[in-house]
Amino acid sequence: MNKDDNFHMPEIDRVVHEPARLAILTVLSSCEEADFLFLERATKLSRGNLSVQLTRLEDADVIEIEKRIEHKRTLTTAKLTNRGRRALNAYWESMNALRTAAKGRLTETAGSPNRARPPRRRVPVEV
Amino acid sequence: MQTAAFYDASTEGQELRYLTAHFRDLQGLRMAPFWGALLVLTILAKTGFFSRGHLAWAAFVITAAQFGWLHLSGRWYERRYGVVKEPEPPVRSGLISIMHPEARPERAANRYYGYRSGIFAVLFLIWALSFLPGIFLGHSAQPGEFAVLLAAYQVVPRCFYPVTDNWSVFLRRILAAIALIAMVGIYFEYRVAQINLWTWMALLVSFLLLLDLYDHWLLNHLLGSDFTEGSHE
Repeated sequence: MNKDDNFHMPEIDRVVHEPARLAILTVLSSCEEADFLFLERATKLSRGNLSVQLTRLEDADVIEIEKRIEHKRTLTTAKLTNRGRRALNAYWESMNALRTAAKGRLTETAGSPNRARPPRRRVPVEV
Repeated sequence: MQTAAFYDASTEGQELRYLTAHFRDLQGLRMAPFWGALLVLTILAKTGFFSRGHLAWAAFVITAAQFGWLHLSGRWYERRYGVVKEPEPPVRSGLISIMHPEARPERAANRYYGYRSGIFAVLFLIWALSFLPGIFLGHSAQPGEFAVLLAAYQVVPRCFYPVTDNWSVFLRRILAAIALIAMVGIYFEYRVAQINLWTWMALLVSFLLLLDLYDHWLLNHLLGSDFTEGSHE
């Protein structure tokens, strides 16, 4: 029995895993806070999509959105909450675990050609 | 699985971090017009068409206008590129960021950061308003002091910040290092070989102009990179 057969698929946070939301979270993790315009430019998401994703992230308590008036215009800023930072870190850890496991399996498969395809099971044929 | 899932550790992720950490430093158009105006002024001084008094007044006006421009251009960048608060610990920035005390991170340890930066900016304004016209008037001009200050605040920090694998970010450091070496070389040339003061000044501000224009280009280039390739819904 292969030792990796005991490998359990890590649980993936679906809120974080969605690519558009992951992009937003990655931008926010690299700074203290960013406004809507910067997020729009850095993630290349449309305004509508960005707005929807930000709302979902806020609903999940992953980010905190603040609206304030600055220089006579509304400034919408977003920042990661502590929970959001933890969730993102946990996400990267599970991704790394997954990657390591996948790499190990790939190496093993490449090393022994017999393991590449499991032997066919004989199926009794009724005549 | 989406490849975007791994971009935290990827080049794109590093570029993004570089962009947010140096967001204010990369706003090159805040200083570029000043260097451009000084370049024109030194060329005019070299031609000798204008009296030193006129040039000194022009330098005074340009320097005063630059402080206003710093504020206006900062607002322009905010409207065009958005607002980012740098990560903690804050990146020690050059002269450009000192002019913007509001950049203080929320969790910065020093609560007098804003006041200190403000006082520094005012002191710098007073110094600049007396020093730059002084160079054009020709009395008590210390070009070496000017060069050291510019190198310390504008060029040296660009040489020491960690860079990413991105060639354009790396080129920023290469350009700054070349500018620094050239500035030192030109200064020795000025001291030893006695090259013309205006030629020396023109070369000095040309380097700074080039660095700031490159920074502005880099900001656009990094923001233009597709960090989320294939990740849109």
